[in-house]
Amino acid sequence: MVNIKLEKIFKKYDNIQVMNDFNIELNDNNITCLLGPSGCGKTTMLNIIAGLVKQDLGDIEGIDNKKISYIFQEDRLLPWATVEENILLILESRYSREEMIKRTEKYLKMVNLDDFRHSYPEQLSGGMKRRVSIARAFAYGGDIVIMDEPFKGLDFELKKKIIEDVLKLWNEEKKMIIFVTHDRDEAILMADDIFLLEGPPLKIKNKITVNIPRDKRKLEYEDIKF
Amino acid sequence: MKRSIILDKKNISRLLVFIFWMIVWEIVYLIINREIYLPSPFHVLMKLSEMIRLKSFWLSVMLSMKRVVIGFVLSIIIGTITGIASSFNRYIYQILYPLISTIKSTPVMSFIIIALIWFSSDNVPIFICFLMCIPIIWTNIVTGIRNVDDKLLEMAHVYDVKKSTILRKIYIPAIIPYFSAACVTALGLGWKSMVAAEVLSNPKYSIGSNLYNAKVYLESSELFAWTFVVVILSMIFEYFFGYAIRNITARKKVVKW
Repeated sequence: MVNIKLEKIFKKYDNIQVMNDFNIELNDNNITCLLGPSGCGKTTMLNIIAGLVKQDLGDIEGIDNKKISYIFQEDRLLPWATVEENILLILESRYSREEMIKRTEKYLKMVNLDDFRHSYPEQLSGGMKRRVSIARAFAYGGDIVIMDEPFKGLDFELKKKIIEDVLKLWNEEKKMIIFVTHDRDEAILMADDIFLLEGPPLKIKNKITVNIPRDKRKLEYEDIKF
Repeated sequence: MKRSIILDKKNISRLLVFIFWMIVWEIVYLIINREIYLPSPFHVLMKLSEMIRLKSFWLSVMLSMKRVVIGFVLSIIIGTITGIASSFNRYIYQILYPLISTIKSTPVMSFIIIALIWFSSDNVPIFICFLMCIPIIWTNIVTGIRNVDDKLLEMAHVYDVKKSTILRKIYIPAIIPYFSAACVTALGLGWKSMVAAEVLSNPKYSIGSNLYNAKVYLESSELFAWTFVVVILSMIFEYFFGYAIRNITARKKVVKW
């Protein structure tokens, strides 16, 4: 089932044509990976889907009235708010007070940070902060979860742990996840569909559907040829 | 226990520094040996002990403090409102920027003389204090708002956070450090310029007019004693007002989750 469709998207920044007649279809309930080199236009595409950037031309189908959870490259946590408050902040517009607290507790527990709910971001390690931003995204309950290089800068063990957290959350709710990475191991470990991108202007070089069951995949998996 | 020992050590070293400068002052006094140029610190302290027994001393001190508080509070209110308006509306910013820059670069004496024509002697120090404080408050509010992390605002936008929540939980906590720094700086400057304005405008009860009279009658001990009062009050103001501002504006107290 096609969930999001980008048709004939044009986007220009100053003199750089980032997207030129770009088309893509993303499937519901799937984890879709956008794999490509830096600067090819992947983040622009994510930002267009999230409504942070407006395309110059073209249509987007399937995101009307849909709530989006976004895990940014940086953690984007308020330094003056505790872990719990950082999550509560974004739930205010969607849920009752009781529901907000319940969701915060639930998702912090899922990423094993329930003991750190009263800690401030500066008191957390990089990996813990990343897990807070993941818990925040899932607690928000967006219909689509967008992740822009969510594992960038994390060491192997931490990356593995956080990927497990994301997959655990995804298994619970089977939301549509779109994530961007440079790392093909990450892509193979997580994704149902992998779009190999190049650019600018952004183009789909190849689309790969990963048919290996998730529990058989490993981070160091190298056998799949692109 | 350990903390109190450290504090005691700190206080002792402060006292020693104070005594050192008193000795230096006394030595310089003995070298010059002209009371009119530089009175002895002991004479100044004796004069001060005489002054504090007078009702007029306390009246002057209280009224000067009242003037600085009025000028300062007015500058906080108007500086904050115009600072916020200027940050969100570039036309208001373009209109106010030259005015604030002019106030910043104009010598305080020019303003005092102009204010003497416009206001009664009681109100000139208030106006001058207000005028000296407002550019600091305005500039820091504008800088604070401009420095709010765009990435946090973008995050709030993606997650549909209400505008009122963005204001309360992102903007206000982000500008608090700028605001409290502005208050502490403005208070020091406001106090000094207010006393200068009192010297020229000569209100009936004021520290400035007492300084002026001491100078006219060549009462060097009294002049130094009043200067000492100004310094002490300025330090007390900066310490207690600064402490109160930092406490009132502590992020945890301002933002209710």
